[in-house]
Amino acid sequence: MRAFLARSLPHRDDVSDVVQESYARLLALSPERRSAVRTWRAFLFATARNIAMDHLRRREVVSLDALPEIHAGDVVLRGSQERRPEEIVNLTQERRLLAGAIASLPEKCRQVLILRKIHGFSQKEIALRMGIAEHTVEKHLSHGVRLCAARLLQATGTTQTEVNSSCPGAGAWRRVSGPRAAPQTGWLV
Amino acid sequence: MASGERTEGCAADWLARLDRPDAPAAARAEFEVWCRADPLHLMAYLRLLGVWNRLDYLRRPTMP
Repeated sequence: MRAFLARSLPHRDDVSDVVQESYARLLALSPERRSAVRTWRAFLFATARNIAMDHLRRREVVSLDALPEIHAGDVVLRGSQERRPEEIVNLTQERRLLAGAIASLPEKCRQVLILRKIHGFSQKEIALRMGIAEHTVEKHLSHGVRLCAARLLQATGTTQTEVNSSCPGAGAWRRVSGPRAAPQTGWLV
Repeated sequence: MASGERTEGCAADWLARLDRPDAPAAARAEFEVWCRADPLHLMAYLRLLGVWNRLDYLRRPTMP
């Protein structure tokens, strides 16, 4: 994927940004959407292409036509356009699970995380609103995301519900990154 | 597992630090160094980033 991106992007920094953001987007998919991705390789490439296009739009360096075409048919993301009833239920369950994780946090930590993730305030705005140091906001967020991860792990057995050794996505990292640097249980650490 | 705990703590700190739009370029460079130092670092970071991003499902729609 790096080679593919290196051909498309003029700056090396962009390549690592795009690779990293692609993985981040992959991991950010809800479990039901993740399991709907049929071709992981195509998905990663399509994601990388989209992010690369964003980068290029921002930089306005080369024509978007320079990027190789990836056909929509290569990637099946069921529910990206319309949601099936069971997916709406899943999303509700997902929200309930996440809300439960936030609710379990210590008070200050919970307030900060709610202002940041539910209301979308910046760290700076939260500091002003709550009359605390920006550094303290940062600490609360750091602590909060760890506790949420632990809570989700407790509730579902893993923070990445769909990813296990039998999932085709589990090998995606190794496949595109070359050497087998990641241990087998990597995603479950 | 003490070192795993420490790695996760660092990953969470990086996540919160880079969540600030005014995070200095030097911090980003330092983060890259930390990521490259050990594949477990990046994995711990991505794992928490996944949780962090999932929390956006709770985001209130902004008023038009």
